[in-house]
Amino acid sequence: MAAKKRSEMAIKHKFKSYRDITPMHVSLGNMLHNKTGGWRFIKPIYEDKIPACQNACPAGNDIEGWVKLLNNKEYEKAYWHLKREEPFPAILGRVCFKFCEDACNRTVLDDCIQIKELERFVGDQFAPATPHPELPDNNGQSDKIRSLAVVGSGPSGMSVAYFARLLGFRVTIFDKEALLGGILRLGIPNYRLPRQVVASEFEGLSLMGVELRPNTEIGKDIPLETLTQTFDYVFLATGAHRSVQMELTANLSCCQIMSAMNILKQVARGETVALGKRVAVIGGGNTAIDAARTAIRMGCHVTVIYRRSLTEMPAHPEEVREAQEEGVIFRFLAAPEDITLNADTTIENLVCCEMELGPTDESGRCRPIRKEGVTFDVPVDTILVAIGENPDFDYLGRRVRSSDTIIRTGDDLSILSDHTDGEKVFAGGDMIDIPHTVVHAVASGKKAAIAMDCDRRGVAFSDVLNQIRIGSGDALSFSRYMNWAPVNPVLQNDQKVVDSTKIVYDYFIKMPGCEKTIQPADLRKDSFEPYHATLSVEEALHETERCMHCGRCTECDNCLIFCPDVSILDQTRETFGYAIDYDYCKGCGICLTECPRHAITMVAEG
Amino acid sequence: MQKMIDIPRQVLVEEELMQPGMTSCQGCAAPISMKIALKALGERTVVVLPACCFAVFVGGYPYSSLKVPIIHCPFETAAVVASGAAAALDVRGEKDVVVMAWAGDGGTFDIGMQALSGAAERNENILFVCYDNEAYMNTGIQRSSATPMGAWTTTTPAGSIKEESKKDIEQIMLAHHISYMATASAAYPDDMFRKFRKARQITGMKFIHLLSACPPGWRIDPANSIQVMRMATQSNVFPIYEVNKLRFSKDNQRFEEDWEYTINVFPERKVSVKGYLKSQGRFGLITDEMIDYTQKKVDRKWNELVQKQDNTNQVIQRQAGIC
Repeated sequence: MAAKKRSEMAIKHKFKSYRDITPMHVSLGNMLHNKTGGWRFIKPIYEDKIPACQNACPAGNDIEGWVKLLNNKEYEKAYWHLKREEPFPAILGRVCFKFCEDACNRTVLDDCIQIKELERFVGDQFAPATPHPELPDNNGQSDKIRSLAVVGSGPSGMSVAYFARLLGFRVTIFDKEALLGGILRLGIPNYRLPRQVVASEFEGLSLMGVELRPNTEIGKDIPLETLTQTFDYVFLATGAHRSVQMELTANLSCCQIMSAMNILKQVARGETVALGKRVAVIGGGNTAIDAARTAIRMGCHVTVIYRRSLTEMPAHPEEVREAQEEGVIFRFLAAPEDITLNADTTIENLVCCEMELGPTDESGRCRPIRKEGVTFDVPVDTILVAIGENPDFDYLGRRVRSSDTIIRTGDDLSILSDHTDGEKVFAGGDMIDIPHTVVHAVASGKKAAIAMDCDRRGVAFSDVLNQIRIGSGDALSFSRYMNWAPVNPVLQNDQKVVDSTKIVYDYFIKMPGCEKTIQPADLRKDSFEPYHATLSVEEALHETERCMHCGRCTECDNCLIFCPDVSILDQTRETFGYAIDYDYCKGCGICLTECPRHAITMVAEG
Repeated sequence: MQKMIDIPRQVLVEEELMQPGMTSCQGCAAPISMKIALKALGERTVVVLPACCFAVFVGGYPYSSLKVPIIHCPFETAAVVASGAAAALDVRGEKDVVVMAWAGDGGTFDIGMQALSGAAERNENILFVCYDNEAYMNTGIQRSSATPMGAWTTTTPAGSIKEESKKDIEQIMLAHHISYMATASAAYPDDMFRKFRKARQITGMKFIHLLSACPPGWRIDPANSIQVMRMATQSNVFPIYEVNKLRFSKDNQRFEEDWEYTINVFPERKVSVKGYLKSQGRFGLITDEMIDYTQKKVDRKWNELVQKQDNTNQVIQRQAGIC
């Protein structure tokens, strides 16, 4: 019996017979009884964090998520994933200030990912021809449906309409113009944002069931009171369109001193504009650059006069560079001092004073100081003033104070006023105190939509805010509010931001980005047509390949390879990611330091 | 884009030959090295363990955390016990079993030297691996001849830190005309995996020198052990290269021997020697002169290596009749 048992054992252990078993004492005991997990005082967990790009985006766009889907060639999924947080990729892919690219961790290695171009690629690949897949079905619960009137069809109005529609609201957009899109359609020239792109986004909104009412001015065609009575919620998004006047020109009556914003609108509407041969644009914002480049395209000789230097300019540096290439002359550190008129009220001369930079002011930029007596002449025929725009409050009546330059809003973007009479009026975009960019406007629309939904459900917005805020800034996540599943089905930590100090650059290969195909300046400066092609599929895939997926697990196997205690368990790709054997993990933390992208967190035991 | 660690996924997911439950310190690099070595060598392997950290934490008899046979042997006998095991397996006709002696720096540089030298000279068919943590860590951090200049240990305490340089074991082994010599580091696991796979195919004496971080002895955070080892290579303090013995005949008459040097890792992100030394607490007392001296020595060794690799290429080209 014993012999039989021994020979069974011998065969089990690959010996020919029990006689082959070595006469030495051989043990098959293992050390699994020694549960080294008890040594641990910190333990690793897999936790996806917020990448630096998403943290920098005011709209909280989950860039890493859709770039990953794009890299897997799941184009349609990427498109709808992108639209979860940022509804208009074709528009923002052209005009965004790309805070994400400035924050991209890859800049330490070579160059940032061209996120804006990728977003444009995704937006252009899929014009919204089908309704949103996550659109709620409103049938049968009509008593719970609330209605929303949106005044103004600019980016914040479009955004609030989109998100409110996804939340089940009945939405109507009113705009006084025949052309919908507000600043996108009228302020931004066609060469930067083609009109078809804006139009197709509105087609997408109508497909979602948003009612569009152009040519309807609130306060004139319909009084605001009618809206507040017929609709449950009203969102004001009429932007900032009233140009700030220069003190210098206040008392001059001269038809050749014009508002740059008005010129842009006239050009957008297709009206004829009479500019002189030599044009001076005063200001340094995007309106100034757009007006200057529009004038260049109309054959003018253009000088931009800005009182600070290039580094303080609010316009995007890329726009400034392209304007310079097209022949716009920039006079920095100069301010208009005097304008002399001819007898026939045409401009004879513009006298400018040189400036120098003083100490920083409350905006964080250097204050320009006039150099007394140092002046120079700029011979011009037309002056375009672009020193800022203010909101127009005429239709709001007593809801605003006469001294207000912006609408004061609460945390939930409902307007703060002494005379609201229980109306549920919200505001967003350039009317409120946020930076005047398209993406900030989109973010305000998202915030207001969520705030209205909280109000409808009777939930305190401040409580919800803490659950859906992502990163260290003010960005909110619509996916979190809707409980939509993230791309990686692992634990999400929305507060921790992965910046460049947390990336292990040793694991990344230098890989330059693809060259942008931009028409040369002498070709593009005669045309209002777009001069910059969307990325090709190959270029887009090349860019997605460069993404480092900061803070998000990519199943790269580094933790599996480096764990000294064989405690990272592979799940052979049946489910996402890895499991950790906490019986034996000693909590050394090698998995975290060798994770190229900081997708692991060490948490204290107990 | 990520530089993926190039170990076949098939190999990564198959059954581990190393089990958890070992009493190694947190962050010890030796189990990582063993895990990769066994993945490359497979289950037809015999491990010979002299006295070293690994012999202690793998589990004393009758326990073992490896699913391959282990022979525990006295400190100085790793190479000779391995030689005997290899000879016995040869007699039994089990040619596919590889015998790996797995010794620390004490069992290689100091106490194991005579047996190793003898086995190397006889060109025994064994794989001798030295996992070098640069001191007698097992007994509480005593200086060995592998301890680098300027390092603190309990026998080179503050006030008399080690002034001698580390023994150049790689050149000593090459002086024995062994079949294959390589350095490797767990910070570059795919390179290490490839070298063990290669060593398995080679008959004769194979020697692999592994750098192996020891968080308590090096005075580093356990989490940083792989990072520090990577810095050792990035600063050229521990260059990763391999040396094959080339045998070629001229006119089928006369045999010549030459070394084929290949540098496997050219660091992309350079780290200064000072940066590497200062990342560890054990070098907290090192003087600036010692750092300068180490930097010069490291540079010279690196340049020599590059020179040798260039010579190799020339020899190979000459043999192929290219030039």
